[in-house]
Amino acid sequence: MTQPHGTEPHFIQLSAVSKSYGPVDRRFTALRDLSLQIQRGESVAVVGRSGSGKTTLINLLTGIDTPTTGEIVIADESIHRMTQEELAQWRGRNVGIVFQFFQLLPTLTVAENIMLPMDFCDTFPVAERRARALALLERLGIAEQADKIPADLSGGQQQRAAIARALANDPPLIVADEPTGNLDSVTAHEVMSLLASLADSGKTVLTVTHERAVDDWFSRVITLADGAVVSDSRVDNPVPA
Amino acid sequence: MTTRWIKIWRDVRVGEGRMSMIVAALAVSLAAVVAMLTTFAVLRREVPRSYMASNPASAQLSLSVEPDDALFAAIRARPGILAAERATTRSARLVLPDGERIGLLLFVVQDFATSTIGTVRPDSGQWPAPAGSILIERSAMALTKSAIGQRIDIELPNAGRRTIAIAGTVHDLGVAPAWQEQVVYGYISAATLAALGEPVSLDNLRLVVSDPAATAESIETTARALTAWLNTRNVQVFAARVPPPRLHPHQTQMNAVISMLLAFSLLGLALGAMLTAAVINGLLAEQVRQIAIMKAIGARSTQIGALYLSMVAGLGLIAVAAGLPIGVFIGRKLIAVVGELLNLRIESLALPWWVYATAIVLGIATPLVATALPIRRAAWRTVRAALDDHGVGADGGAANLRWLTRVRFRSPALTQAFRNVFRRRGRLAMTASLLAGAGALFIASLDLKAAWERNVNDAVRDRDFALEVRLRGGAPRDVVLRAVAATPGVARVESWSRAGASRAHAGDLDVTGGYPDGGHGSFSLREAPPDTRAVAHRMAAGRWLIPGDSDAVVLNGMARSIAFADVQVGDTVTLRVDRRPVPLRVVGFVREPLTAGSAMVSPATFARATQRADSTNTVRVTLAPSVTERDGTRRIVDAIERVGVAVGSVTAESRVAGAQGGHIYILVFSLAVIALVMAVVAMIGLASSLGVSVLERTREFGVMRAIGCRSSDIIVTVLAEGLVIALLSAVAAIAMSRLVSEIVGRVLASISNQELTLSLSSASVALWVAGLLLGATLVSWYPARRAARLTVRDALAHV
Repeated sequence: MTQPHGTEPHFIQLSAVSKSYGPVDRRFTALRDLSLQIQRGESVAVVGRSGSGKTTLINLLTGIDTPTTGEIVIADESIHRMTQEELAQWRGRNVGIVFQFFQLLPTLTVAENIMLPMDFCDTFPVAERRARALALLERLGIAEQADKIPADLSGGQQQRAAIARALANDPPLIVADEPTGNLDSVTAHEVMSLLASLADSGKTVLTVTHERAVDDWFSRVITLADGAVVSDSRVDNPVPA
Repeated sequence: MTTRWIKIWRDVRVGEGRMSMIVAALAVSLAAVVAMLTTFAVLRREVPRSYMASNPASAQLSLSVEPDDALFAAIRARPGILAAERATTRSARLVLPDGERIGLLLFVVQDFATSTIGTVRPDSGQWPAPAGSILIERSAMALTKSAIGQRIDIELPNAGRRTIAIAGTVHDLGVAPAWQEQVVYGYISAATLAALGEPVSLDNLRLVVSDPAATAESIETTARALTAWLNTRNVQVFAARVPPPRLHPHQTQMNAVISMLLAFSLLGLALGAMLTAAVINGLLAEQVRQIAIMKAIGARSTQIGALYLSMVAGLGLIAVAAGLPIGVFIGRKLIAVVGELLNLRIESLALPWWVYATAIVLGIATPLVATALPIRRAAWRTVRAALDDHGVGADGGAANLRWLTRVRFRSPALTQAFRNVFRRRGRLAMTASLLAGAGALFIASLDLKAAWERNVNDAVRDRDFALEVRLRGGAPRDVVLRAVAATPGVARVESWSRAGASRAHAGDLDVTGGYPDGGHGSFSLREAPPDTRAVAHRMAAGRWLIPGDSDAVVLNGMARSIAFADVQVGDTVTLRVDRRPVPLRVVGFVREPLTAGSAMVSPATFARATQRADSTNTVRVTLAPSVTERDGTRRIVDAIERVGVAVGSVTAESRVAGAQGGHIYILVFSLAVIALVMAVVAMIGLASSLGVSVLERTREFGVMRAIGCRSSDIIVTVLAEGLVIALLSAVAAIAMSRLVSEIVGRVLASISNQELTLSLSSASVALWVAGLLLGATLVSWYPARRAARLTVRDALAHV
């Protein structure tokens, strides 16, 4: 596991971030004055009950949503100041997102799904994209599924394909929102191991999860309740199964 | 092809059914637009070209004598005159092989070979006609019931019955089709007419003015100057006809009709584009999460927008490829029909480049414009908003629903259907507008047909006579009336003498806007018995004639629109009858549909105006029910001729309505076809709208099934939703149809010079509503069944 580098500038810096929804008279605050720092290469699990603010935190970190107040700086870029168009390009190049329901595009093959971020962000030459997609699938152990459509894959295979897609543009940050919520326990175990292993290759990994025993995979566990951090613990020796 | 384009291509392939609907709707509506553009472009070019090729007269003067060669040479040398020609016309009668007689209008010129003004074009047979033969206008050959080379019997005003050979046919652009007017047009040289024993006086002067860009006013000035000059040489000018310069007699009507049809076909295309927007909107609703995911992995809004806009442009391009050739084909067929209808000559069907360019631009740009907003809305949505989209919104469209909670039906399914309709008010407006537009045009086209038929029925009902018998010159009234009244099978006879008339204007010369054939802008003075039983008068204003009227005149609808549009009841107008001014007081306007322009006066006034007392030249005869028109005609002609009076022509009233219906039914048919195209497009729109609605509410259906709702309840809900939208659109269609009827009615009234009253017909509304409900049920069935077949698990798992 890669240790956090205490002297280096924080890779992710949240300063007094709040997020509220709804009109003034029925306002709901999902995150309250939250400050957080995450170093490059950390693997972080975000846990908490439903409504604790986990998904809101993920949405803010990926630029899917913007904070009501506060600042978010990731890799020296103040994403809270970006327009939607700037966020889209920044996200494509810097963040790989893994969703609970995989969210592969149904009319594209697995390989094509992985090539799509490269196409939108123009990160790799057209001629190299398929080879890169196949290499990622090989790395995730589903190379033989490359030319199938997502509907022909099992849940676990689809989530592996979704992880491959998240890695397509070689982003430094991988964010997963309950990636095992739709998988059986064995497959969920495999996927969690896979995500955790990405930190070993230098990626910063943030995972919202309901899985128990997150200590097994992640170097840091942040617990949220009612929009605030109630616990932030570091695991010295996570032991991926 | 890069990955994102592969995705769009596959989306099209997966949604082939819906995409085909878009292409079909756009192609069909574009074909209608192209057909109208083709017709418009070709006729706008060809009609003036061939009309001007005939070198039409700028003016035609009616002189007291034929100018001799010296005077004629001096006329041609007058300033402002480029060319002049002497000619005349004769009203004669053609005796058909079966003995029936039909009107024959003879155009007489000095020499066809050297004639250069208002020329006719050789069509078939010999040209120029050899001495002693006649040429027939091509549209009149069928009426003659003879063939080229055959000899026909004609009855001339002075020379009586003669035989003459048909040398060939010609095409005269300046006359209406003969079948329409029920008159045969013949062309004959002065020498031939003289050889037949008929006195010839070429006392009509055809003129072409020097200025090729002359206006009607400047031509009139030239005609007045020439009149003044002729008066100094003891030649009187009775009247002048100055037709609108360089304008074919039917050009204005044609432009009005084609423009109207073009406007409606453009409306059809707009509806097609709205359908495209509805379907694409549905696709975007389905793909809202895909769009969110694409944006989450790096796609910019502009990239997403470009993808879907390219898809729409591609569909538009396919529609152009399909609709353009079909439209050109239909347009060319329509040109042939219009050409036949208006006796036109179309030399070339070549289309100008702008027709193709307009079709391509319209076919691609119209759906792009229609879908730009929904695509922009979907593409520019934030990822979070898109991911949170659960169909009808988190609040279930609560803002729209609150007021609807007061609306309740006995059936919960019906209540739910009614409320669902209003959850997406934008979509409801679009779908209902599609249906309403089609309905409005459909109802208006049927109302138009009904109005015309009412007009024809009124014309038939108003006239209680079967035959109008025109005598050759005047004859003693009592003798003629007695002879006809005594004929077996005659129920009643009245004298309805006629005399050529024009409205007298200030100055020495009466100028009318008529064309050389005397049609298109002429009317007559009619003797009308105040107590007539031959005609039931439907007054538009004022009153009918009463015994004792000495200077009263009643104008019919046609006369009013031709020459008296500025006149009100109580005004005094001056007519010129037999070259004399006749001041008359207008006491009323009578509708008289489908009747030639007439200014009607009492027998005493007629006698004073024409200075012929106790004389008649026309009688109207009512036949006993047991007698056919054909037998009645034969007996009456025999009876009149037995008392030494020659009959000019006999017109059966039954021909009147049929002869004039052609124009109208083509218009009605065109409108109905456009309406049906729109209806098909609208039904596709309804199917698409319901499909999207079902998709959006998949989870709701899952919940309904989970709490015990039966499949039949779900089917009823969706079907009822379709029917509610259809019924709402029907209300809008009825309202919109009034506006469409008003527009169409005005165009039609100007074409036909008839007063048309378009009223909402319950039959047309009932027909539309019945078709609409049937169509709505059919197109709602598929989405209803799809909703009913959803399992609880599938429905609740839907994302």
